[in-house]
Amino acid sequence: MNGEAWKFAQLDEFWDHYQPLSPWGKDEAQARAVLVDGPVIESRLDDIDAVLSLIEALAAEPSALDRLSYHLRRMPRVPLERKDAYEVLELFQFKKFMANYRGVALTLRAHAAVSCWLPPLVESSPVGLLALELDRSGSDPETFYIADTYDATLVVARAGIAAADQAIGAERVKAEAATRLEFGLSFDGREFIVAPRDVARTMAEAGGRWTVEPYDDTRYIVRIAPSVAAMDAMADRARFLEDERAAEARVVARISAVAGNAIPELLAMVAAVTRFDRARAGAVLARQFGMSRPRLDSRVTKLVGARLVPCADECERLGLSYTPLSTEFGADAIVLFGSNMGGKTVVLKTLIFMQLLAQTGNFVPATHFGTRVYARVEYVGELAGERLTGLSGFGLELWRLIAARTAGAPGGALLAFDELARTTGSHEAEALLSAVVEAYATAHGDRAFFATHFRGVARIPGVEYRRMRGLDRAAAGTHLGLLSGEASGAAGHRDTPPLAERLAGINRSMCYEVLPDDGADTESDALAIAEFLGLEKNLVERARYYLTKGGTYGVV
Amino acid sequence: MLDRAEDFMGKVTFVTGPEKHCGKTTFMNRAAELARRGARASGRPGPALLTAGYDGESRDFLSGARKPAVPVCAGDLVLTTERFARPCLPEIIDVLPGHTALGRLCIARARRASVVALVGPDGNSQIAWAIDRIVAEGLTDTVLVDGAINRITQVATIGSARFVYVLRVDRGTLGQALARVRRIGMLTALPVAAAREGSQAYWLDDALTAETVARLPATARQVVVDDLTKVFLGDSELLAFVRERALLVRRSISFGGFVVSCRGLADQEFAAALDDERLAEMIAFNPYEPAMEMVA
Repeated sequence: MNGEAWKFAQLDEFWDHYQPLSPWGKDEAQARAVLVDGPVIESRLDDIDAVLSLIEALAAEPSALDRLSYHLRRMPRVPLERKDAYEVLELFQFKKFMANYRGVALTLRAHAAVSCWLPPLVESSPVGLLALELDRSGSDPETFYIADTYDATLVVARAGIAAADQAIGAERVKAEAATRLEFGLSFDGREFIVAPRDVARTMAEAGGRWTVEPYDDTRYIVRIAPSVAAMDAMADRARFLEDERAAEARVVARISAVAGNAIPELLAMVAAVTRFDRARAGAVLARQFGMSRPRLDSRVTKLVGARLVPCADECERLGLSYTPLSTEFGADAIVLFGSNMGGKTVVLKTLIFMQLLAQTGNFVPATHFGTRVYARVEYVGELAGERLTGLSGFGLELWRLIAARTAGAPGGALLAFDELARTTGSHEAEALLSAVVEAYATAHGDRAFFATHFRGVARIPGVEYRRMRGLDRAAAGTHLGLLSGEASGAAGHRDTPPLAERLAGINRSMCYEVLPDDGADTESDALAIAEFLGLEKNLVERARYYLTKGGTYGVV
Repeated sequence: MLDRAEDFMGKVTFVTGPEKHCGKTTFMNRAAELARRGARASGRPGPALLTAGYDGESRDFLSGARKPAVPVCAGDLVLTTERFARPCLPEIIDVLPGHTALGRLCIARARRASVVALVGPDGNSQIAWAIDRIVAEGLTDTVLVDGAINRITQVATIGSARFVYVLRVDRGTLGQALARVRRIGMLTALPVAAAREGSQAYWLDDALTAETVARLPATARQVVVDDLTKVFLGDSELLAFVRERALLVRRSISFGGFVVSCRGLADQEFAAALDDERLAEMIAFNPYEPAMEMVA
């Protein structure tokens, strides 16, 4: 259910900005875990605070921040289970991990609040011993090979291989020179050459120094046959290679034993890196979007200057203004009225966005967000572009409602109902909505928000009724007059001005503010919006007539 | 052409070809030797040797069928499994994400001369990742990639890469080889389209196939595809297409030339049959067939 709330709140569009750099940080980001343990969330928020202070302290030393990112990004996954024998690649990964761990720890060493998360390697500890072992090889702190220094046999075997290679190479040079001198053909380092048939045949008859095979009817492939000295060297090489293999296996087994002992410490180091990486990503995100720490001890749900970032971004792209949300809710059930385009769905999205983000252990894009931790954060409604086989929109809503009602868990739920039952008849829809609102108003522990434009929802004690301020009709009227004046025909002609301009006009005249609702106002902004979009004036006037007369036929 | 160190040094070169056993690996070995000598002479790092895709060729390796081995020297970089790199005493520099059927892949520096088998990753993105790691971190600027069979798509994923096209020709395949050379010659010469904004051309987001051609509006006189790797028309279909419409690419891919190994016919016969001076200038013949020197 969190997943649907996550989608509804468009959190994925924002989550792309959250960028841990280590493999484990990336895993966590990918998992999109919503936490339900208050102290764990608070501790993660403390970590972000600590890294924010660190970033501030390092402001004069930007290269230090780059270094931190560099080392985190280079950390490889390491095997975290004990094995009898690790692969050479795994030993390399241990080494590279520790080199970059040291890089992070070293950069942080002067910053006690964070450096205590990543203690330096102690030489005498199992992981320190592993580092010592692995540092005996490699041309830089991150690379690894099984160096001669690990085993005396390796020195002998590799010297033998080198001597054999030298002998084989010398024989090859001699043979190439002979080929050039005797036949004018240059191998020049090639494994074989293609030579004219007559020449190749002569070479084949020259005492077995070359091997030849037909290439086509005029040419042969010629290879240099190894001399006796070269064959002896090859045999030596094969023997030394066997010695080398055996010695390498011994080295791998020995280092593996050291690595196995270090696994508990390595696990702790990975956890420390993950903690720092997660907090760094959270702090970078917080700075990028001017975010603040959520308050998780609030009885009321309070938002001040809360920005639904994907919506704000979209408004910016469309050249529309975006109004951050500032409001407060205290009841267990809140009904929010508003016309189409009035912003009530955005209010729901903003609430869910802030709540989910806070429960990932991150700051939120708001001046203030007061809330508490909920065991579940759920959305009940249709998602954009969603079609479920065999279920109508209403069926899908009910399916989700049933799931939400039956998924009780200690800790309560924050629920957002967007236009519940909007696809069914208004009379029954209002009745159903009233019943659901009533159920949540009396079920303490949850907090449920209902966005609707059904004005006939029952007024139930304990429920908070709110409405969007909606259209500033005076401003809209002025704007409408302006647009009508530009139109060539009757006011409200559908073709001019264009729809985009009219929508922008509505946006400019809409007040995205949450107000108390006393139930007195019968008309939402639907008719005004219809007029503003260009519906014929007489139709709008007749609609207003029927609205006030309760549907009774009459002539003005 | 394609026979000097400078032809490969400082470049990312994909060695591609139309089929198995057309001589790609053998040519790469020669190119590597030339690049290695150039590197030694100029004090630069040795070449990096990679293979892209292992479908047919690695199975040959697994089944024991003959596959040209790759000689490496100390200082060369290779992309393969640690086990297959072991003969060259590899110093592990990085490990590629994920696994292949033959094990995990690593970028390693050879610490002694030996012969190794290269193993490539499954996808183009991993080849791009490895090349970026090698070039961007200054490990070397000379990279040779043994291309997969019948695929040059991987070239498009590396912005600075170019490809060479290796083919083996005999009398029976002469006509097909000539058609292939002309087709590649035509594709590598496709003009680059100007900006999409305000363009009158038809911009095709898919590949150009017989199906997409059938769906093109009759009014589309100019058709733009991403790059030459998105053209999946056969020789005759392509010729028919360019007779009717102009074909352009959004991005060109550098071409290093053809390497043609003739068997049963002389190089001059091939050039004469091609009868195209522009294309003939792009051809290098069998690099394993040295000219005879005067014997004293």
